[in-house]
Amino acid sequence: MSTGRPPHLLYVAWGFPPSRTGGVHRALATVNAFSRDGWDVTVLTVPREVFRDVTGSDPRLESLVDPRVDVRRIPFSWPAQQTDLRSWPLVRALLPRVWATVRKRRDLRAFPEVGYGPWRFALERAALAVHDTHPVDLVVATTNPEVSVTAGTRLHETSGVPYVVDYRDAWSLHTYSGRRRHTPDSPAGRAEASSLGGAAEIWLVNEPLRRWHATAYPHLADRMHVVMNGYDQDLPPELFREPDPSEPLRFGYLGTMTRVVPLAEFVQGWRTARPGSPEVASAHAVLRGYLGYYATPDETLSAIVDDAADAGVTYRGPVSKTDVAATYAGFDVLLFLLGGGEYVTSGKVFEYMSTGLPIVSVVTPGCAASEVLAGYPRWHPAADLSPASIAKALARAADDARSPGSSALAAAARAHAGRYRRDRQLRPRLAALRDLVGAPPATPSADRPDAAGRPAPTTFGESR
Amino acid sequence: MTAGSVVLVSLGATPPGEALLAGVHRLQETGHRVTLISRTPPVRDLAETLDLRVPVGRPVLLGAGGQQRISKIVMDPHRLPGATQILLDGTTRRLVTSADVLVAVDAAALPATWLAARVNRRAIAVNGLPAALARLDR
Repeated sequence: MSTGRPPHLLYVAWGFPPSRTGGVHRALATVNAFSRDGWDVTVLTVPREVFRDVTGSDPRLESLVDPRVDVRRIPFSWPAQQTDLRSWPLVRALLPRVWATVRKRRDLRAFPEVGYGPWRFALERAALAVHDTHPVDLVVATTNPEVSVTAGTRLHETSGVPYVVDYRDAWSLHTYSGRRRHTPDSPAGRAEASSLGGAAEIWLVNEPLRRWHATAYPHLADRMHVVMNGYDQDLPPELFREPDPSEPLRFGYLGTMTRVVPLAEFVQGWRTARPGSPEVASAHAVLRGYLGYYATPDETLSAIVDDAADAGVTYRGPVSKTDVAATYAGFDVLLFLLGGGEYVTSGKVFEYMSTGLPIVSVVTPGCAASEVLAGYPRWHPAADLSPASIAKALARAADDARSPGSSALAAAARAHAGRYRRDRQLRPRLAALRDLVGAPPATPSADRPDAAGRPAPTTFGESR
Repeated sequence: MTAGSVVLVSLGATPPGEALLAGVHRLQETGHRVTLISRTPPVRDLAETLDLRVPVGRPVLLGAGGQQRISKIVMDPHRLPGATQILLDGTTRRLVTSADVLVAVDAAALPATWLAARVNRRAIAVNGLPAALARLDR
């Protein structure tokens, strides 16, 4: 890179504020970290309307993007998720399967990823345009969708710009089942091998995922790094307070509820716990977050939540990222419900631990998140997903919340969580990438103010 | 959410069920009048909740499942006939042309709702009741 100017990062993320999709907090924190580290940052993402109309959005999330970051919204068409019948062609209304088959073939012709493939062309054009006007020194593409990597591969081919593939999920591996999604010689397998083969670094969110990819691509193992999700900032200590003995306990869940979240199992366990534990019997369970991946609530999950109302379980809708701290302050015990096995950690586990509150985990046995929770002094795991095991964990957590000296316990728990702060996860990579692009090391005070003299914004939170 | 007339269209063989109930309640709480045009009678709770239900089409299926195949393409004989019948019948035509929101609540109702949206150009026309609620909330 030329000297005398800050290094320029082109960051590609389909899900970026105001999206409320999984991984958006990782994207937000990453661009803010690069900006604070002294990089010029340009983001390529999709228009706001995609989130407003389909996935759901959190408009206040945009205010947390460092104002120095240049966000460019690249047109993206998502016909499969289009519910407005006025935009449908006649063939889709009359022959939906024919339409879907044709559409899928068109998607795959552009890039081997159904639904997102055609974004490749707009993305590559945008990357080249950015590079023409403001030379790019590094591309970081966060997946999924996997098509995001094409901006990096294109600039690498045309101008030798190095790129990083940030696998916040995985492509070839189905992280919930642990099975391969596609074979190495399939179009998707070949595309992955090609994009990873040219990457300067490959980021994975946990060690089991790094191991799997290192086994699949042994010649690239030395470029693979674990960059955990972490949490962005400690909750203010004053948020923690001992539960009022005269008030019932408040158990809380905060996060997106999908069909892989063991919500029905939790409700059964909650019902089982109530007769045996006076504390749970009088307690409330409050569920916050989206029901499903999209703005429209998932009907199956809605039914589970509605049916549980008579047992003191209430659903109170999604929470803006800016209200997350206040939401945690209203809980006495946190409910960590997560599906998936040895490759799934989630992002919210780190945020949960940062509160210092007792955590009841209801997760699939062998889930990678349990490894993260191990050592957290207020962790109360359900041994399995049976109602009896979940009931025991709930009762233990209730006793913990009521135990004398819970402030000291919370302080110890928060101290344990400190190792998972996101800045500590990203710091080594920022230094290595500065070295890679030939930029001088960042000054010790990397939290540079913006042009108006305002301090860099801080963020808090993870996927919900 | 401004109060108006919502027309739900169901042309599938499965009776419109309780999955619609919460959405219908929500619409009515905000002053909407909810009408169901359907081939099969809705389940009792839903029937008691609706402001109006208008039957259309033939309630008995033809052949095996009422479906016909042309090569790999599966055709439901109720889809297109049902769509045209809704637009030709005086009662249902009045309902769809005066509606503020048209909702296909099953896949078989998509052609009918799509065609109705061509006749009634000012109505919101969507696939699925949750999508209608989201549009009205916007």
